[in-house]
Amino acid sequence: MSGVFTPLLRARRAPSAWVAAFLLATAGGGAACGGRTTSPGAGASGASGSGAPDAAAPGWTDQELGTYGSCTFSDFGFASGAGGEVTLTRTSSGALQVVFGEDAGQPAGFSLTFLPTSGTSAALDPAGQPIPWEGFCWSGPAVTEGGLPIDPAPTSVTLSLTSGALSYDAETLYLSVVGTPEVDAACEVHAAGSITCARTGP
Amino acid sequence: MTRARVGRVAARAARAARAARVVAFLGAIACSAACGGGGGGGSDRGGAPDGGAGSSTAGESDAPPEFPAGVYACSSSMNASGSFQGTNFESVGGGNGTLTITQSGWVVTAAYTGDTFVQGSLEFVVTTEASAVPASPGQTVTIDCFVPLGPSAQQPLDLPLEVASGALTMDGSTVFLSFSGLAGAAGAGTSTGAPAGGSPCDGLEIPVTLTCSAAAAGDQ
Repeated sequence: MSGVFTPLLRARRAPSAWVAAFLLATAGGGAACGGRTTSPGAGASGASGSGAPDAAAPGWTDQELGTYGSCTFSDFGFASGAGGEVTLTRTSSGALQVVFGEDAGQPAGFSLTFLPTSGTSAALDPAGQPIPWEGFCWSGPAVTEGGLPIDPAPTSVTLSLTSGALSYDAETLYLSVVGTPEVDAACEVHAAGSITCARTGP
Repeated sequence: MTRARVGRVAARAARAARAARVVAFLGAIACSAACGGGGGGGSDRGGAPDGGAGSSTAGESDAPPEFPAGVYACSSSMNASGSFQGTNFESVGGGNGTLTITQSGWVVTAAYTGDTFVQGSLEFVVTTEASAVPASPGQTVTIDCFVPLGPSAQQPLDLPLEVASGALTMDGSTVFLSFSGLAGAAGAGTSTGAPAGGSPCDGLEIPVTLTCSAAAAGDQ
């Protein structure tokens, strides 16, 4: 999708499960389905375990470095959809740097560093890297003049990443992160997201 | 691990252009056979596909790295973009389920259940204590077409997703299982119960990610 996000329509099909859709009206007319309308927008846990990066592990080869496009992203804040581009480079220390290019209607751009754990996988390092995110936050008085609870509003927050994985397989790059939102207000934040992109060039 | 699986793994590694490592891997096999060390003992270690990484790698140890087996609570997310009966869509779906990871030799099995939107089992070959790659392409899981258009808007519509690529990784206490592939008729089969015209998910490339922790279900 190039650019424009249409309203996010979310409906519940089963408890604890959700489905959402961006429906883009075409010349033939669009369709709509039930659910509330939100606007698009912007992760949680940490510590070390068996997945601790192995400093002795070899870095990724040049084949995996470069540009990836045709990205799809899920739950980056409120943003889910397609578009954007990821550039993967290697630093002088052997770490991998992932840069997601910001574009209209997509998650805000970000840069993250990973340490290779194998020739095709890497773990977030260091933990605590910030990433722009979005949540539903409440602010102001607790109730409206009508006595009803105020609605939460989409709000930009920062997600402090506690874990993340970067993997490559068959020309496909997978990026997944989990974090803790850094917010003062009462917010509802889905603190995990993922991006999948296809290899496009060196 | 069977010879066929070893072959598939070697082929996979070659396709990934890890030529040097493949040579090393094959060299290890050749050495094992020629030197007689261990003899048939090597038949169950098959994998070591990625040679690449970690403290325990192929050719360096007879024992495969141990990926953390166990039961994990997960949330899933998936995307689909396409057009159905004149309507373009971008749709996302996801739910919660339980991922059970077991390991036998070099093969790690990830079985996912309890999620409305995706379930099934995938086999991986462990590469390090925190990563594994698909044991073979073309494995299949079942997804529910989560695009609220056409027949899938009325009732759950299961269809196969033929996995073309994927990864199983762990960072800290979090397990990430990611894969993508073609859904439905263009994949491994046809939708269950889909009327003529198919489902809006048929033929779409659909990425799926599970984010899992050892915490109790619902904590995600």
